Amino acid sequence: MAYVRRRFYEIFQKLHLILAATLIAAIYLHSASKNLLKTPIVYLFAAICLQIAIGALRFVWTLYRNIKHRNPLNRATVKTITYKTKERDTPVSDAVHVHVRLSRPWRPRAGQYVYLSIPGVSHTAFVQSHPFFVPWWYQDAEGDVIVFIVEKRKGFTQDLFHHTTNDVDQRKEMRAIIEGPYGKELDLESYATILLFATGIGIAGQLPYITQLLERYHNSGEKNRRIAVFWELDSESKCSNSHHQGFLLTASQKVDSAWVADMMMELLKRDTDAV
Amino acid sequence: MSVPHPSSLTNLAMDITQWYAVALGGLVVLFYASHLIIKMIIKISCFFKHLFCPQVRLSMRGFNRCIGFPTLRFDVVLVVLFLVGNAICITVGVKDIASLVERSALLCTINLMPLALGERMNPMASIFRVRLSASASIHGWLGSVVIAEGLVHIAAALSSQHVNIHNTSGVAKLVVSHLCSCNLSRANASEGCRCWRGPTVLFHGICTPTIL
Repeated sequence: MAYVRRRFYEIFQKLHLILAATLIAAIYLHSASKNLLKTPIVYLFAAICLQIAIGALRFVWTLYRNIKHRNPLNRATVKTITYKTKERDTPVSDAVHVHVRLSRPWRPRAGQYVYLSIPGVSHTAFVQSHPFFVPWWYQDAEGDVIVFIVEKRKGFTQDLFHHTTNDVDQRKEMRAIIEGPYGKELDLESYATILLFATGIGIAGQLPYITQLLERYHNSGEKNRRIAVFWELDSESKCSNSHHQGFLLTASQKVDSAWVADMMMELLKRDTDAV
Repeated sequence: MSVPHPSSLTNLAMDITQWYAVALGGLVVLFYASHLIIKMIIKISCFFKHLFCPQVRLSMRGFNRCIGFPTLRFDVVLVVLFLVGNAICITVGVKDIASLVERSALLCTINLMPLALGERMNPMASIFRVRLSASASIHGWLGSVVIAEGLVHIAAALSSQHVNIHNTSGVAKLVVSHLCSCNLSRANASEGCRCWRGPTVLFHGICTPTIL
């Protein structure tokens, strides 16, 4: 059963909801009294109302996040990551960057994640939404863009690789639905030394903390702060621990470090005091 | 001024299941307010910080993933209160099989209410700033108790009467029992409670043919 759950998670999740609804219907049929205001039907009614309320909350929140006048939906572009050396640029085969142009601008916070759905990726993608951290975001002439790092697994993430592009190609843009953001930010303000640990793709969750901590470092007068990032990559050959006057990564020469290399360079530029 | 008849006062009084429903509502509110509560009690005294905030790690095999980690002692207290409440409600005042059938069914239905909050936990967890892992583990506990009470209801009903599958009610009983036993097998198989897997799968295997 655990294997089936892992292998067909999306089907399993939908089936779970259908079975839960069937259970409620079966209990309703089974109970002797059908009076809505008497036990046990009143409890069933309350359960259904709670489910509807949460569903409605999600629906309204998703509509608000995705739809704006004259900007109907977010647009996603899947971009190949390249590992740049002096000699040549090598495309990274195990991860891509998904750039989502937001129809309604919002500022992601550290520790937040969103559910991303891109219906154009495959035939079944319209019923799939997957959680991703927002490692960084930027603004260009057309508006706000958030970036996701997506590691190649099975299903949705594998299908994304069929839609990669290197150029700014309007035809390659796909509609994207974002649900969220969810998650809470850890309050790290009161700590003088902050150690951040990540393994593999987990670096996506730590980058916004570095960004925010650096911003606050520059904006506030408090200057006695140290930040250290320890990032471990899965493969032994690619493994590296980094701690050099802050968050400089010795892994920047490794191929997988290209996932975040551009952002790391940007953060290093902002880290004028070598925090 | 007319004085109410004693029998009408008895009808107005809440029975144990209604008290349980109110208490369960209180526990749910307590869980969703836990972020605020913990913040407040830490401000009051550091002693409470050590009382409620340490993460709990049970060493018993198979139970780690049942409770779900990271879990605060505060969450464990809530889960224990919930289990004790259920145990009290299903036993106190139960005199015969018929009342056990009724009581277990009622408790099962009451527990469905907070279970419905788990349809998508992210919005609630984010709004109230509670831990998603704790939400998931409490949802798991609620589901397990609902299934267990459903099975108690079925077992008690089977021991006292025959199920007629030629009418709607009988078919509904069959569906409920099948879903309950199937879900319990699934929950225990997937949540890592390996020590329960064998008995529950066996129960699932026996339950449906027995009813049929």
